[in-house]
Amino acid sequence: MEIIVRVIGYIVLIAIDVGCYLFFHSHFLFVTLMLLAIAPVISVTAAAVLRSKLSVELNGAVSLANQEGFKQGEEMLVRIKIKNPTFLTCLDCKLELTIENEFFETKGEQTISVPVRAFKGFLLDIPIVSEYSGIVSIEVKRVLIKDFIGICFLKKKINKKSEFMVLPNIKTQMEINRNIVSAGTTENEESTKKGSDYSEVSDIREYIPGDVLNNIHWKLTAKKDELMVKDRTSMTDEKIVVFLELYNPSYMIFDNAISTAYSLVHKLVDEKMSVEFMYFSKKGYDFKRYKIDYHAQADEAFSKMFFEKTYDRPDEGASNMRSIHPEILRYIHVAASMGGVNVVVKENV
Amino acid sequence: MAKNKQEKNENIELCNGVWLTNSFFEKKENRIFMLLLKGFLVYLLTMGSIGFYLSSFNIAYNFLLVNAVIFVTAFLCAGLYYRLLTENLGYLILLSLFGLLVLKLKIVINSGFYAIVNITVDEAARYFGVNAQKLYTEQIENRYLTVTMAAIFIGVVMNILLNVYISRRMQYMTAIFITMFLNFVPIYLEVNPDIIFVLMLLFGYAIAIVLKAGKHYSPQIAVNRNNRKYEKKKKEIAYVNDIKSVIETSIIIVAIVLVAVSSILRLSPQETFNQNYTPNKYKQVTMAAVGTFLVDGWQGFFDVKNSVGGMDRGQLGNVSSVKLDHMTDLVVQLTPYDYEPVYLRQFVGVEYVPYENRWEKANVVEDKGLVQESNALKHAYENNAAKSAKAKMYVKNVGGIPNEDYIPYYTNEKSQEDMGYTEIVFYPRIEGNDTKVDEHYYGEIGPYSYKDLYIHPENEEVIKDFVKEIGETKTEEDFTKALKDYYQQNIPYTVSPGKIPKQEDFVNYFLTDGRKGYCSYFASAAVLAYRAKGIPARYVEGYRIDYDQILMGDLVDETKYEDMYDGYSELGKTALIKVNVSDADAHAWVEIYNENLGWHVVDVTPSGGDEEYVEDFWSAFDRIINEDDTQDATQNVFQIPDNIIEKSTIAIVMFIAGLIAIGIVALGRDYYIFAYKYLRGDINEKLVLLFGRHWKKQCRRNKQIMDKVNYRDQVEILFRYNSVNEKNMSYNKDIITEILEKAGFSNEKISQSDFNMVKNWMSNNKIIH
Repeated sequence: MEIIVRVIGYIVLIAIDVGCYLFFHSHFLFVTLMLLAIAPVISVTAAAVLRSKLSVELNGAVSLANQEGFKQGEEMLVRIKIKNPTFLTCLDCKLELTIENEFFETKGEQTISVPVRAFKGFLLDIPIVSEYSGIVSIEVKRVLIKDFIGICFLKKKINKKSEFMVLPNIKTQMEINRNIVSAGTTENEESTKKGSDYSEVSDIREYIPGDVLNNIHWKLTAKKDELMVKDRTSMTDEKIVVFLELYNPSYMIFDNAISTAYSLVHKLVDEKMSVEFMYFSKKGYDFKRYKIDYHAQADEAFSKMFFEKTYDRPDEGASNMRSIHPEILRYIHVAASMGGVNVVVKENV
Repeated sequence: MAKNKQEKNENIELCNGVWLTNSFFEKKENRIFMLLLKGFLVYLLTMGSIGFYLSSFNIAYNFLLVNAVIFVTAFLCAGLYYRLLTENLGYLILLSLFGLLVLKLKIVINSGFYAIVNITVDEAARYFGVNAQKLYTEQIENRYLTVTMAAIFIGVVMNILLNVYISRRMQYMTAIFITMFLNFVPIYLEVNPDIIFVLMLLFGYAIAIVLKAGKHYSPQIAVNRNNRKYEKKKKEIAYVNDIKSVIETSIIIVAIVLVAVSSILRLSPQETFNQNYTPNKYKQVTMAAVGTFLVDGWQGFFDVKNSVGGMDRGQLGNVSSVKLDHMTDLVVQLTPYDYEPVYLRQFVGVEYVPYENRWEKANVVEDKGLVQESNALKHAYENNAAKSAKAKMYVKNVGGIPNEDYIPYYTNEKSQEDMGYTEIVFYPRIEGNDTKVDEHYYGEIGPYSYKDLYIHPENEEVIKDFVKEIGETKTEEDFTKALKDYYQQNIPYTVSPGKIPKQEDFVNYFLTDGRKGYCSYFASAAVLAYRAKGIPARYVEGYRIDYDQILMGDLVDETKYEDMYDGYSELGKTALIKVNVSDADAHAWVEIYNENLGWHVVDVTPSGGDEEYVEDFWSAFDRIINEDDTQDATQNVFQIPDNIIEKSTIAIVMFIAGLIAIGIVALGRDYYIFAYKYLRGDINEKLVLLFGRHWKKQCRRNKQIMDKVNYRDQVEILFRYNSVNEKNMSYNKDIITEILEKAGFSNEKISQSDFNMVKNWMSNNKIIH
């Protein structure tokens, strides 16, 4: 529409000049008429040359908080560089961007108009804030180059993309309820229930007087002719399973649920507890489990989670837990619902 | 973590949950440079337009001064848009100063306008092949000075007007209209401007069109604007204040226009463009109307019931400016006999009525004398007296006052002829013909009455002073000469004297306050002056045909010379000439009586003074400054107040200086305060001032950081926002903080090396955007 209006305006200008020239037969009007006639040709040609030489680079995002990675609500700079090796310029070069949060499945488009300088192009820094955690991507789909007199736009496909992870914030007001701690499955309970020892074997070593006889590795002992025992993780350790339901009833509530789970895991790590973070992957139709002893492991686990898809049923994960992981007796179930975020200790029965 | 609702509304949502923060729009760098560029654009358009017009008509003016003033005011006007405060206050101050200046210089500027108009009208008259008259009186004759002032005035007005349309909206169509509106006059008259001004205009238009197309003229860094691709609530974001790209684009456009125009001029030069060109039929249709308008103004289109050439049958003072139609009023056929003008009499006024400002028409009894003179001259002719003669004249009234007779002096007989002519027999009094008109010719009525000597008491005092000013004279001839000299030297002739103010007497006003006029003014006052000297006098209106005009008449072959003239002729045997007499020949004069010649013509109106003295601008300026009062009388026909030029020059200089001072003070106030404190402070104070200035600058780029008030937080945020800057990251923020806190709060002086380090850090530290 803008182009049509401008073209019509230009034609009107030429028509007025032609009329005046025919009436007055002035040299000045003749010169202006010639200029008006050749201007579109020069203008469009220059835009075409610029279009062929122009290139766009996406340099990713920079955290203004000078941290590794991004947090939700924190401002980050996305840098887009337009390179122009020619002496030609463009005052209205439109970048058509697609911005999406793939985890939350939100998508939007935005056009940003920038000038392009001779030989230097333009460096565009876009300060953005992601309200939700997830993977935010910015893609430059194409550029539209306007000629000098504004009668046409020349298009060029770019299709360049930059992605960055946005982690949740830790809720500072979260208190760990000791009942939650006690909800963790102990080693003794597991062994008592199943009749076997399902605690994890971390090592095999020689017998030291005092070792529990049940841990003797009889097979290896027979081979080596020496008493060997299984070195298990501390049998008195309390492992807490935090399970996050990837059910998205609304963006805000779901994001709150993610933050809750994230904060909970970090808090447990702070309390020097052994945490296992789980979620149900709809893609692979199985559960992902991550043992978390350090904060960095939590970040990594959640980063991997953001590649998953959310699902429509509120308790899809919990319902599958019984059949796939019956050994987990109880876990902390974090889920979003229309009423808010629910954090409950669930018995896996 | 999450932004509150109010902040959300200010940010732009790119997609659900991802926002473009407001800091994108809060940068305001290079605003002043963008304004300066627009100022330059306005200068190109204004100077191009003014130069186009003036150079087309080869009107001389001080090119450098006009350029300088327009250049400076264009930038100042553009700079007013720096802030809302400067915009509102600045325009107020500017317009006030400008108004004061115009009031002070109105006479100079008016004269300049009139000079430009008069030159245009002269050119138009040449183009249309008509006789032009000077439409306006230029009170100051120095056209170089007055045109310069008028050009400056027009330039400043155009700057103000163009600035409104260019700075905010880049409305180039309006700019084209404003700059070309009057320039269609020289285009119509087929006169060409200098190429430099053509280029200035074309550069200006081209840059404006490109900036408008690129939508790159806003004072803000970035804006939201509509994009039909999106729904209403979503807008396109645009960077619109990148001065470097604007300058580069402007240079490219100027280069393209220059190359294109040069090529066009090579192919089709200006000088030969209109060779063998005749105006097209549409232009020809308009030429009559345009010619009338340019030469005679709007009144040319209306039948104005008014005077004939300024004469209105004795009515005085109601013509502010004589408008001539140059149409033929009388067709006269005569045989010239001497070099003196031929006066054709129509109206005789005997009694002057003051405040009503008119002459009462003489009745048949009062209009005495000329018949008696003609009888005396006839008698002399019949007795073959020396230099006596008898002549015939045919007069046809085609456009004069209807039913009025126009007869030459000493008419003895008249009769109606075919074709509307009046045949007149008269006995001319050629120089050297001393025929005395004895009293017996006048009979009982006598040669004159008391009315021919009467002066109304309302005029007595003024006439008395007037006669005193003329000086002591003994004879009538001496007085006539003295009166003519007085008029010539003291009261200028003009066809635009302006109307006599209400409740003023015509003669009194003319001799005291007005001091300018045309023939009826001079004649009316002269009649009363003669009467004051005891010489009977009357006021006469009619036509005057000069010898030169007779020579330009057409020869009438059919009639024999002998049938038209007999007796003495100064020119020898001539021929019958047909002369077209127009309203330009309408005239007023005086008749006085003496006992030898009887009633005879005395023409006291001074000559018009068409010669022009052109003094260059700086000579005039130099003369003003050095207060050179020794002016040649021929330099300035019109008397002007002594100090007007001096005041006008000083006023202009003060106006420009005032504008520059306002600009400098407004823009540099903070800097001056900073510089003053910096120079006076010790090393600690210097560092605190420098950092304070640096912090303010960064806050202007990103207002979100303004809430940081102590050095530690400020340095922390500056480091954080410069994380991508490697140079910045080579410094230690704790050390920087420590030095600043020491400089700001401690009595201990920081070292020079610490000062330099922090200073270098600041120079490498800029908020990224």
